Amino acid sequence: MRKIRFSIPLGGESGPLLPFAALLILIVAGLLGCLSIYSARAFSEAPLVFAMKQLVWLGGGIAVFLAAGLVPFSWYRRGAAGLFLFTLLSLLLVLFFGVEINGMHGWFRLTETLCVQPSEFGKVFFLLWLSVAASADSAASFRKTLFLFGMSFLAILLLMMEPDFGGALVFFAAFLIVMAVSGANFRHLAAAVALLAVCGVIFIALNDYALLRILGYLDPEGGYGVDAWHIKQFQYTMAHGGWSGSAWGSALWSSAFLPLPHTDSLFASMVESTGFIGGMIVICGFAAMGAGFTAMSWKIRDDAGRVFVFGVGAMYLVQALIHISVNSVLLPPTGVTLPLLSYGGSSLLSVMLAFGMAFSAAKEE
Amino acid sequence: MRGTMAAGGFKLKTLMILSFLLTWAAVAAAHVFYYAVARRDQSLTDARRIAWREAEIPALRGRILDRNGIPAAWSELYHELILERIPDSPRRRENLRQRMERVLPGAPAWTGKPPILLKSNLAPDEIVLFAREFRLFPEVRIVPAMRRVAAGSSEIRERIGKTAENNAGEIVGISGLERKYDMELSGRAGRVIVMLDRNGNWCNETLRITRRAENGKDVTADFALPAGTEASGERFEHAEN
Repeated sequence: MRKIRFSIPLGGESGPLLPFAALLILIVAGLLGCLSIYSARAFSEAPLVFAMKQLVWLGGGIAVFLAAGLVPFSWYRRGAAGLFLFTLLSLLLVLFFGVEINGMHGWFRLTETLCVQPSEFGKVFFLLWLSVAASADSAASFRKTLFLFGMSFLAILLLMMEPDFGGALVFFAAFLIVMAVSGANFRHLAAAVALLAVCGVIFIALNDYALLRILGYLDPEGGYGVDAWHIKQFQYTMAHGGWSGSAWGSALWSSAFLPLPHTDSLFASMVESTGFIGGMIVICGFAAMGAGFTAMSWKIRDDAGRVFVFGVGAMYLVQALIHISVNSVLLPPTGVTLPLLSYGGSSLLSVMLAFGMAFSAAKEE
Repeated sequence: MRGTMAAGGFKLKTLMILSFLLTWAAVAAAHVFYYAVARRDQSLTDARRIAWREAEIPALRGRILDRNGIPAAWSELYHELILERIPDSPRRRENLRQRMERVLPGAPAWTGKPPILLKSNLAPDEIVLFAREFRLFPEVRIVPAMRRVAAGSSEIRERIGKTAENNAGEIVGISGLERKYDMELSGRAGRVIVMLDRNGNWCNETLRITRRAENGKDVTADFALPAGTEASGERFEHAEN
């Protein structure tokens, strides 16, 4: 009897197939995100607005995922430098022509209600360019590392100017991941980390809000204003969840006390709704995602492709871990969304784009 | 471009990075467990202390009726828009000022010391409008209050007497029949517990009545109001809820 594979044909005649399971997982994860957003906003004036908008973005995201998977990875490789330049340009322009939302000058306003956050798409193009450039030749020369670091530093600097400290952290993590797997000299990498750490310290010293966040994190009872207050609220929100949570649509504490419960504080809100068990499911889901992309990268022979595929899984796992760590009071507060689950069209579409591109790379195995 | 990196080396490096990230995930999970389960009771106790409040619902003061059963004095609910404190940050202060100029053009300037009465006797549509417009400014509150209204001639109103607010915020009779029958008219205040959000607003979903208010009883006086007497609308005293 002939076996039937449940898959959607996306390649050429002999091309590999995009697994149906991946699509299903993305849809389920996206719907879970909509439910979480509804739960986080259940006690607001319009509880369904954000969840319904996210549902629309999810439909668009699935289309982007499928379309991005159809494009041969060689096309992405050829356009990587251009896309990265476009990213740098948009990060620069948003400082002058962007709008400020939640204290961050990081959005272009397209219509009255529609904004685009270029850094969300930028991190995909940055990762692509870095993967292609780092894999261009095998020699891990100082000059090459310096060039890649310089360009990465430029992107990170533009993000810091918004200021988007969380986004800068994700870019930095992407740089480290790609350079580490591409065989960069350990001493060069250590020097890059040290230099960025010094820049980070200078940034914190120059920005009172960043310093207060760290002081508030180190001593939540110390009266360091709103940030210490938020740290306590994360603790109280999780406490309301207990083992199994207070049921969907009952994230009352998140709604009343957490800043942005549907975006930057979504994980804590989910723990309130679904408890420690729900939180563990989310953490295990992201860990499985990272492991899945890692296993997928091992099957790819093209250097740029496998570095990019591993990079996508690792970068979004890092982003998820930063979000979860901030929400579980393991790290000082910083605004990072939970990939796939948090509210935001730019965030969701860019994740879907990255996943589609990764599957395109895997297809050329 | 086909691979120039050694496949074994790549696999090892990715495994090392993945292991680091999974360890990080395990530490984060342990943190979630600590706050959601292990330290739950202590956190909930702290949370209740900062968010839950007990409040009194004042009892409705009874009416004074004339000997024919026509109301001569009664309590009336009204709403005031009050600026309870001026925002600390200059930016927030400016935002509130702009919002106020748009929504409430004739509002008094913030020259005095808060609380500042911005508008009294709010109409129902004004209550809805201001509640929506000043939702993000907890400094501005719509405060419900009761006032005593009396009908009849000045002689009758003098017999009815006056009320005032005592230190506990309750309306008490200070002269005339209001004072004489104060016990009967006062009733007993009810009690509620409610959770407040970060702006100090009540989370209505959490409101629980722990003691029902018992409204004051009506008292019948021995005078008769002339036929066709309407409420004078004179406001003697008022007390905030």
